[in-house]
Amino acid sequence: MSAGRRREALLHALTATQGPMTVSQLALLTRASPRTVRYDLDDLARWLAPRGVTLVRRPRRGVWLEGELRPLGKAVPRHEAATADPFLPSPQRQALTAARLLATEAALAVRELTELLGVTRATVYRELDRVGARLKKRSLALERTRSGIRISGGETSRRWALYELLREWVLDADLREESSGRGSLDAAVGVRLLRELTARSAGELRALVADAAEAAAYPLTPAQAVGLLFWSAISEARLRVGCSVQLPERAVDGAGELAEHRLAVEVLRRLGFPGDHQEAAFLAMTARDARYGPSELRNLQAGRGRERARQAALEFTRQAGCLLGVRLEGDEDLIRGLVLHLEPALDRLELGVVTPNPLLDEIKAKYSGLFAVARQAAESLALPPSGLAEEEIGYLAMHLGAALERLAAPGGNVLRAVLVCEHGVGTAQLLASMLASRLPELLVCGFASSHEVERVAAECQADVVITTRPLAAAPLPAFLVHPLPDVIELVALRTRLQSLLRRPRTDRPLRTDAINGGAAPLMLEHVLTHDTVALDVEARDWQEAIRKAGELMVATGAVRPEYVEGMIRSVLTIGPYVVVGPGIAMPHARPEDGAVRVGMSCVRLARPVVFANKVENPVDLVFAFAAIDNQSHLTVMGQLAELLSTPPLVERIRRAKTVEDVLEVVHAVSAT
Amino acid sequence: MKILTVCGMGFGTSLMLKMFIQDLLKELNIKADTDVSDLGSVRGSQADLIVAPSDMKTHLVDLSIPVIFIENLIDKREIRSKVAPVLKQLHETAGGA
Repeated sequence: MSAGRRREALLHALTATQGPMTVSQLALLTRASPRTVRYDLDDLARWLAPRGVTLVRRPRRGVWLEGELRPLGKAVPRHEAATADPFLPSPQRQALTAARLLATEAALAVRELTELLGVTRATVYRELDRVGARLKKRSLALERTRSGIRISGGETSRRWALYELLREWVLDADLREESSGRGSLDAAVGVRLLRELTARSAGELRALVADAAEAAAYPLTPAQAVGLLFWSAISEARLRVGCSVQLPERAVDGAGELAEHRLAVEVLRRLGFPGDHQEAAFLAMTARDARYGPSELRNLQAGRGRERARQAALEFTRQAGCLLGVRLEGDEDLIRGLVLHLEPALDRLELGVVTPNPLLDEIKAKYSGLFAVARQAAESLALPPSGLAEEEIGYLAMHLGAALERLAAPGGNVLRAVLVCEHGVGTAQLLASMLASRLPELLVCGFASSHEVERVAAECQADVVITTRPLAAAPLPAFLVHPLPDVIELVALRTRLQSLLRRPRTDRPLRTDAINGGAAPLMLEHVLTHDTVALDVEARDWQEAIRKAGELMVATGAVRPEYVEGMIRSVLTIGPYVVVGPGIAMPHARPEDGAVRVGMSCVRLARPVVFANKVENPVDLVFAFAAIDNQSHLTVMGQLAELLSTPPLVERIRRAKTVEDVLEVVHAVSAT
Repeated sequence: MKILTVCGMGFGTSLMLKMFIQDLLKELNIKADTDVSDLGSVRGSQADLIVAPSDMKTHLVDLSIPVIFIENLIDKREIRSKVAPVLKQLHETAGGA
């Protein structure tokens, strides 16, 4: 029976009986599976809503119509409903296929998939290959048996794969009640994915989780409320088909100690599956893991539980640096990444559980050296005798790889990226590490959830957005990637990023933060350019001279306008030594006065002016500069000192006919 | 041995001075730590010698640590002629002890 026919039959059945009908009755009637019927009911509800009829669905009671039915008459929504069925693009179809296969235990007939997706058998087969390739990363296998297709693999792997799907496709909007009607295509997919797992609506699930948290007196974080909603739906789906997780006894005992355990017990009771210790332990651990979302990733310093992880991260960094023969301690990105990984990893170590690392084999094969270093560095940490599992060491090795890439990355040619990945801390960090180690031209400078991208992107001056889920609107070029991208995807992403890099970027031509990580240093010739050198500038007094020099730094984006006033204030407060030598002044302000990056300008005045009452020493050369810390401008200052302390070079600037002549001098000291 | 260079903010002029002194130490083959400081925190710092712009004389008169004042902050000859003898002396004292 075609989708249109089925909906026709369903509407007739519902208008004829005018009382509740169960989904299984409707399934018998239309000879489709209960799941297919649920989708049809979704579409029917969408079709009926603007016609003043509500399709009511209540668990354990059934489905019925409310409202004025007569105007509907016999005008069955055959044609309209059929076209209202969104024709899903391939990635969305694959997500639905994977969800249905993961949720069920029995083999699935291909016919059920063609019904589900509204595509031909050939398309289903073709896409199954890709679904299989994805699942393989989670150690799951797609089996084709005579009775159909099924997935085999561990229960926890299966559940994590489901969680990953929900995280990828279910949008915030899907979780709000008001969006149940129409929405974007992706919203429709999100709702349908949840529907694969549970008969409850997102609103009902959210209420269930909130209610359980209240009963357990547990303060849910916003990230956790969403995470637990997903895990609840997954538990319900799997427990309904009789599949429970199996955890080591020690893990079950350990999880019993967690603050999240009571929360898990309350959730399971409300789902209708009380009393399963294994299940409660698993749900407690996943709830704990879901505490931190992208917003929390940024606020690392907070939280007492982090101290142990931070100490371990610092020690690991020191040891690994010694083994690799490089200095890594200054790399805050590395330390932050390690802390975020080590905190839950140390928890897991105590509990004796291991989170699967889908990349472990690849890491061991391709980065065997790094893996060995990570293992050795991890062994030097003061940890319980069992030590960190290989899965965890694999993650640490990825972080080390990223740090080494940052050391090697060329200074000027890097795109700053905000990462939108709401799959939890582990996955977001793993993705950041993968991107960093495979795409050295990319620097992940911040994490954001989808609704705060714009703000975070502005805060960390990002060039691009990398996201694991479709964004409604992005302030910058946005690239969609899978949370565990494969090599082909990464190569494609790299090609697209490089096309961006070739575009000239005049607004923010320099990247200075690499210097803190020890990468190629910023040189004098990077900051003194055509845009920041001016000759024979008119100025009545020293204040005007500073303003003229400051304007060049404002125009190139090195400082904000208030920085210029800061320079004038500094001269007034800390005195005349702004004049460092005969005719030369070096005004500057504090980084917090409005410095954006390391910057400098050189202004040669048409007529010398007196600075700060130093009448015996009027100034004709003004070198204004901005620093952002006490490190990143070291090379620049060293080269400027070299220039200024070499009288023939200063003389060449005084006698320069063009800006080019000045830049030649700058190049000369930059080359030394 | 530790040598502190000072300026108003601790990252501009003092940094240049510090670099010149590092060059000088290398030239004299003397090992010493060098650091920068801003005017506000110089009093709490531990050092054997302070080098500062001469415009700061009024702020740095009552210190127990010897201070060398530099007029032309970009003149390596002035810095060498004023600082090198003191460095040698400090080095010998430290070596003899």
